[in-house]
Amino acid sequence: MTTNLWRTIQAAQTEEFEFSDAEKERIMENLKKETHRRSGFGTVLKSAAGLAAAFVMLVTASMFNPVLAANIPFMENIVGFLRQNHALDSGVYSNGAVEKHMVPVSVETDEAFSIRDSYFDGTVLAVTIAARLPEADTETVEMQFELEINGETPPIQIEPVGGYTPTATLYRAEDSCFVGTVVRDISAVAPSSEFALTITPTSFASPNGDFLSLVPSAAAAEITQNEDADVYPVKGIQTDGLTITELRATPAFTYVNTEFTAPGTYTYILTLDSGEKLDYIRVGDYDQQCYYEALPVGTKYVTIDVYEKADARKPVCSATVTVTDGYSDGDAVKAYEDARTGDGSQSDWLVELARRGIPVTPREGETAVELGETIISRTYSETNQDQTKDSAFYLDPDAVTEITYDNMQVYASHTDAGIDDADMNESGIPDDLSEYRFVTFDVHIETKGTPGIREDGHLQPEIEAYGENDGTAGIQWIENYAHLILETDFNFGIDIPYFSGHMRGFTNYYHFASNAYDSHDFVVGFYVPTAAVESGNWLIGVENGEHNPDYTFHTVYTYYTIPPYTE
Amino acid sequence: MEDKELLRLLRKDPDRGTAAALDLYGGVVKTVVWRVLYNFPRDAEECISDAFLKLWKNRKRLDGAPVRAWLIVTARNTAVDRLRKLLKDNSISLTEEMAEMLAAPEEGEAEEILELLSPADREIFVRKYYFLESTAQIAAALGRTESDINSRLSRGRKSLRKQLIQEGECSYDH
Repeated sequence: MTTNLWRTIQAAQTEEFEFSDAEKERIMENLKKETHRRSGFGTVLKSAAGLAAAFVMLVTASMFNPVLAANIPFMENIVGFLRQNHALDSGVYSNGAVEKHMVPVSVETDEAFSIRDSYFDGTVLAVTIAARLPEADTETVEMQFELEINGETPPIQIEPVGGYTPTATLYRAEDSCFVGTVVRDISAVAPSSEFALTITPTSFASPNGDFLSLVPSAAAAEITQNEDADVYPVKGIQTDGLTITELRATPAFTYVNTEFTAPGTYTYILTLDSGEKLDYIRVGDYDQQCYYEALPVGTKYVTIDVYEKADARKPVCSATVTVTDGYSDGDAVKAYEDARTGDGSQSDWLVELARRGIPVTPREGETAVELGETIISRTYSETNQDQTKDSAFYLDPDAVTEITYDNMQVYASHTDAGIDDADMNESGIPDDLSEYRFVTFDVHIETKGTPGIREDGHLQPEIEAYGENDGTAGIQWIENYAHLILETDFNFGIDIPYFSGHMRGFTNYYHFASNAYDSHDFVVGFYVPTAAVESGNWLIGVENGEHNPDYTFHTVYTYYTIPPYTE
Repeated sequence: MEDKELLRLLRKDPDRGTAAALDLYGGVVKTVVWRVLYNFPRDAEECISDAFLKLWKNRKRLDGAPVRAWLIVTARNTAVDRLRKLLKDNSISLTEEMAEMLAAPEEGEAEEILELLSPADREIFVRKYYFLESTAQIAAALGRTESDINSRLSRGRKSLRKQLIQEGECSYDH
């Protein structure tokens, strides 16, 4: 196991060279070429990796709030304090169940470093820690440490804790007191219901890499398995050839292991049922063995449905396990929302999103217009200005691309719209069309000083093949102007299934060639969940060329609002 | 953006994930690559692309890994590998500076050396062999003299028997 090398490299800093937007654009081009070829770039990946992903929270970095800290008796509820500061980076904390089952560890409170609370369910160990660091002058510190169970170091297990970092981040709570949490799967060292835990800090470093000279000594605690965690294994349930070999549910996770040996490729979907058919939650599509989040309170049944991957209309078999209850406070929507951030099937999530009917509205700082209006995009303006080769004719600081959507048409399918399969981008076509409509728009694009990317590499054949090339042609991507948006907080990168100007046969379905000053009329088509089509609760996002400073890399869109449609 | 979030974005939306990775780590990757291939800008840019392509390829395997460190090591190995190829193909003379680049220890050996060093010396070691900083740069950054830096580096060099780094991409062992 590599440890010090990776930690030291991760923490060390060097004076970095400037990395320009033009370099980034060029490298992105190369990467797109490679990754498109390999995986249908831009799709929601349908691989059922979901294991850890189901547990990984979307943790948004949050600035520490000293006012908040001063008002929190942190030693009484460290997890609550960390939660308020968006500092819980393990999925076992997602719905609050572990927090409820944590018990205080008996320690002397004036120790420089101590273990404060513990949770252990036989697999997952979660502890809170507190350190007094009078030298620290930052709001967070990174603690490197060694963890031992009965004197033995457990191996690193990524699941079910949803990721592993070799350090723990401690947050300033009061004066020189910092608190944090450590979560590990320690099942590999098979501790009994009681064991000795030792955490030995080896260093504390500020975010800029400065190490503190005073490192508190180790903290030890006797950990007892939580009796009220109510871990209940279920084994050997068999239905229609599907065997649930194990269902293990704890406040930290739900583990499902199934066996299904019929030939073919299958998708496994876990659903939870409160018994009243009100909180029926489709958690997600995963593998035969999978970790999910803790069951929500009120769960009565857990069902595993097995579908043929090519036909999601009816399961080929299913098995249901009756459970006594769930743990987490998360309601059906919350559990669903957490689960959908994992790698699920694009089609399933879209239908589910639309069915939930959560209003799809522009984010702060973004605007929306109606069909027929023109949106200004500067997506290619900056690139053009950074390029110098043959660029004199389009070094226009006011360069923009104008996009106008209009003439919405709704069809049952692309076939119904008279579009051949050969003209479609197959990765954007849902497996089951029954809950979708195919919606097309006329898109008028005018480039005003923005031809797109011009270079001598792999795009050159496309540029040369453009019959209207007046010597200024470059390549643009229709994707920049055609995002199907069913949730604005997180864009799934849904593929556009149809683009009338597609350049399949060259390098990319979504490319189109354009002169610096040019005009294009295209048709784009989206497969949109019927529920969204009928409610009008969806948007088309057009990238306006800016990035939202509140997110590391969130494109800013201008949206088209879509009117409801009923047949 | 934390590494975990970045990796998830790479899995879910490779386009934006790659763009985010370039935003976050493009500078440090370029720095490492250019320190090796400063005379070969075209090769340098290809190596930067290769490093991020490797990140994309390994996006599922790296859950929980320190992405910045992984990229730095991958970029260094990719660039040094390219330098070796250029030296072989183009009959370019090996300079003392290049020889130093090629003399970094293998990953396992580096791990062993680090175990023997104090935290302060570990940073010097990493700056020298992974960030590929010159002794003068390290001395300036850490407020030490060049002779002090050389002296500290020489302690670790005793263990350096192999003079060429491993070929191909690095691996992260959880």
